[in-house]
Amino acid sequence: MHELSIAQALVEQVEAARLANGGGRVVSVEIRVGEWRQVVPEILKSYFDHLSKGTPMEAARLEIDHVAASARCGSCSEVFALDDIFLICPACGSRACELLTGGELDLVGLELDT
Amino acid sequence: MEIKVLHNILEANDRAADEVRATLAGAGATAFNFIGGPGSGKTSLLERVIPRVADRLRVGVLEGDIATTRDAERIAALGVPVVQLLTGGGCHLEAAFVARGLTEVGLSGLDLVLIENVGNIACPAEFDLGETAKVGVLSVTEGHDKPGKYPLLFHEVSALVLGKIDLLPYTDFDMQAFEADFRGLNAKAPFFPLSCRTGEGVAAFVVWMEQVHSRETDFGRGYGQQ
Repeated sequence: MHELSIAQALVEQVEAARLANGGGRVVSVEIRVGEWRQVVPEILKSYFDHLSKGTPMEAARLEIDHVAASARCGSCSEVFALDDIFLICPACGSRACELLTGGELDLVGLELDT
Repeated sequence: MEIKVLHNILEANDRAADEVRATLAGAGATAFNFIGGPGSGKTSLLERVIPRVADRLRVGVLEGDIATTRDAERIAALGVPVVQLLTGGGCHLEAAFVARGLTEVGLSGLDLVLIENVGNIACPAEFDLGETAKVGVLSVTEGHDKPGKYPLLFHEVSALVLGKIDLLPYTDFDMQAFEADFRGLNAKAPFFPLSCRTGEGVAAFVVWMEQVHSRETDFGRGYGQQ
């Protein structure tokens, strides 16, 4: 349900970027969401559609790029995909690993029809 | 026209959280953000913790809930200042709420701020409130499989409380499997099995909270002298 807060923040950022780039109608919005983010794409899309009604981003296409989770071992520096979510190094068994990717929640671009 | 930008979508919340952190540091106060599902025992934990520290530390509480002031009334009965933050349906607290709550609760006279997030094991983990430490609260009746199902929370916490351990004999909770999964997500955070009903284990958790507070304030003092 926190997708509503995320959609609200997204709509504000898209509007700011739109105005900073001369205005016009927003055709598409591209965002990046990491695997560890508890975001349900369908719910985020429906909130985005709802909040953008009657604004210059009404009917804009929301493109969601999914980013797989990966980690780096603090002991042996191995970089590995987090297939089973647990932060345990497959090379040396160390638990001193940090999340490298998978935590993203970013607006990366938009397309304007000016 | 295609435009490339790169903004963390939650940056407005993160900015508000940074302001909360600065406000807390300025006041010499330490804030704990308690996150756990409905009925996991967050309010009961506060009811156990507050009387144990009230003679040494001044405590204020921010109670996050979707509706009703029932939790705030329980805390007010302990004689500490409490502010109810009603989200009106929202599933989590955000930093701007906490900033308002700190003003209302009277931060200047406080050492500890205990923030009870909305009962929810998933969403609150996504939002930085500017707290000093996140505390995960799980109870044995919720099952030992939760770390793997909600990895973000268990990864993010600075400490984990496992409550209702007096009920262990009546459940199939597998402590070994639970600890192995938790440690697979979080190698460092201390783990406090306890029971608010019997009081077992509460003292160790309180010691940890006081350590976090003295570390923060010692650092603050040392930093100020430089």
